[in-house]
Amino acid sequence: MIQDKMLKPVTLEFNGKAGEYFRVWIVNVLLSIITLGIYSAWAKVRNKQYFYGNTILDGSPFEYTASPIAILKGRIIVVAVLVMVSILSQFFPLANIIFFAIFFLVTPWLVMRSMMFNAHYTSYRNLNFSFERNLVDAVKTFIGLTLLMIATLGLAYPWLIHAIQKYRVDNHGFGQYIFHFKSSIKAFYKYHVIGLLIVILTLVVVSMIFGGSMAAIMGPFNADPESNPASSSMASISLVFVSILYFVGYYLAYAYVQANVFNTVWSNTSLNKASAHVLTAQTVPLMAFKGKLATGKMFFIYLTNTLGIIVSVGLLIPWAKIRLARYRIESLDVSSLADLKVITANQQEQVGTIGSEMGDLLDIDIAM
Amino acid sequence: MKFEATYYDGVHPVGKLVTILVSDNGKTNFIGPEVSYSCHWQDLNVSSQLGNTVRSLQLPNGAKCEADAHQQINQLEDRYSRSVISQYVHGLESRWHYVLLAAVIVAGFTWGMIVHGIPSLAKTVAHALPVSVDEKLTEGTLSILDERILSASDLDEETKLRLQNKFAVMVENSQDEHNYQLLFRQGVGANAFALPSGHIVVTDELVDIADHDDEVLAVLAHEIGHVVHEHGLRSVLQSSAVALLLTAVTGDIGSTSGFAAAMPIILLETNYSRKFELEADRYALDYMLAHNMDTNHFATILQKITGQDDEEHEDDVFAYLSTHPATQERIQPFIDNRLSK
Repeated sequence: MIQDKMLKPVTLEFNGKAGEYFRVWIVNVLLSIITLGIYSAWAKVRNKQYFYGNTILDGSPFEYTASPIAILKGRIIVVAVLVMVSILSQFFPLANIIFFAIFFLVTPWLVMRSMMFNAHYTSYRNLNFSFERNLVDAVKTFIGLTLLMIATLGLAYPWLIHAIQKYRVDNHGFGQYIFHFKSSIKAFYKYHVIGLLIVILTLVVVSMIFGGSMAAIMGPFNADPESNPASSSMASISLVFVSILYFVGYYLAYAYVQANVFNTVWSNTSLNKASAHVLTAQTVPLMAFKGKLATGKMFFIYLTNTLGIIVSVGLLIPWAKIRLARYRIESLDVSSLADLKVITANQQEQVGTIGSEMGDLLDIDIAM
Repeated sequence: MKFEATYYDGVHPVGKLVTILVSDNGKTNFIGPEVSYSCHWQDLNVSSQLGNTVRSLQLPNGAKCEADAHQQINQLEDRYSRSVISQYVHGLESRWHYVLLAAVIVAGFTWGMIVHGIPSLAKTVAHALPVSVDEKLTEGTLSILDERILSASDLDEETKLRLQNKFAVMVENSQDEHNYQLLFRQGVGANAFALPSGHIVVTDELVDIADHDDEVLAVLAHEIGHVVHEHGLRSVLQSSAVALLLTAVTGDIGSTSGFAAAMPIILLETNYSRKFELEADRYALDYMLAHNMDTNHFATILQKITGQDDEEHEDDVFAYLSTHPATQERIQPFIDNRLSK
């Protein structure tokens, strides 16, 4: 394509080191424990800044500029709400249901605020990223498509994932430039169907090999018959093999879907002038990306990370995080039409942190 | 003091090389081809040192400088304005003996919480909660089991009635608020289990292999032990507390390492549940001794249920994965106490 020839490659590298990050990580954990969790807000900033500051695009690092105090306030509010709900539910059994209903309804707002917060406090060469206050599409995605997914018993799941990625990319901006996502839903269906087939195949193989011995696993005199107690060593051995086989199959499917979604999302993302509302095939973007994660390598990293963490009783978590981050960042090609000089800042607005923290705590935060 | 930096005006993401000159009174000058600015070092907002990442110096005019002259910047920060947190945190991170100490403290704390803190906390909470919580926990469990795994008992009414009466005597003495009920089912081999609410299920197969009613009663005493000691509720509390603790300690480890965290949780749960089994055994032993029952009945029925192959594998590595302690280890106290009587 013509446009590809006009774009020059830009270097993107990751400089994080496992030994160095281990020290940051363990001090974060220690101080968070000693301060009964208060320091965790500072820990979060330091942790995030370590990864941002070591991600170097065209010779310059990214920077995470959020204030720990803002994050702490958000966390206090989240904890207060959760405590209130759990106390209320002691007196009114309906409180839990009402809370979940309210939570479901405000999810779009929380996701949007979380993305606004993270974008606003991510900067590159002293220019913040931005996230459009787009509640309409958030409601369509996080309520509309989620309900559709439930109604179709999961058939709409790849569609939901596509919509989430599109919402995330399309509303991000940098200066007066905005990101644009142009992938079709079809690719997402393909990856999720193949991923599901891998899981099903694993289940079939596992039950064919171990179906017989699983039946013998129910033990005597147990308080909880659902916990699959292993009454004899033979059953224990098969339980271990079944778990390992299942994990391996699941990891393969997970690595496959993760790698392909990453590649599809990035390869179909571009940075364009905000005024160019209608993008044609001839539109040359300011920046283009290409994801090159390989399923096999991802699978290997996931598997060895897990083994390392288990064998080291958690001490290798920093190492695992660093090598995953390195592989992901170094598998991304970035190319640019011109100098970034053409970008200029938009007016900036203050973004509060409550939405972001609610999102973080409940793990609906989707990191860029 | 003097060092090089890259200046970003905050409007265009384009760096300009500048020299930063700091005089002895703290006056700071930013000098470059297109830049000329000055302020006091105290007016700068300087990022704390973090590994080898570039430092950012935020200027009052909205511009920012990026520099890696850590030594000079730290000296200036020490002299003028460094915040307490950044000073000590980087101090901890940069010295290996502090890092090692931190690792030891974190590991010790986590281990202590898992082995002592969480179990005793769960015990206190479980006993403080009303029986209605146990009932809520059990709600629907029995009907699901009846639907999927268990089927109706084929025992004759006479046997059922005889065991019901003996069971009623047992729970009358237990002096606690659970609503005890003995239920007969079949479908899971020779087995018995208790639900937190006080429902105790015995299978036909168990009644059939018992040669003496006291063998069945020994099993029932063990199950009552589970209920009295709130093992159902405690195991729920312990699992959620362990998951919470591991998430808190390891940070947001993300979905990939989440699987790695599942492994230790499985190991811990089997370890917790073995402790519960021993506690329930202890209850059965105390009960049988207090009511002049032959404790050997417990040993007999347990050996019948677990069969012979158990003893061959007792001390291999997989024994650790078992939710139940080795049979020999369990029956020993019952045999010892019988002989000493």
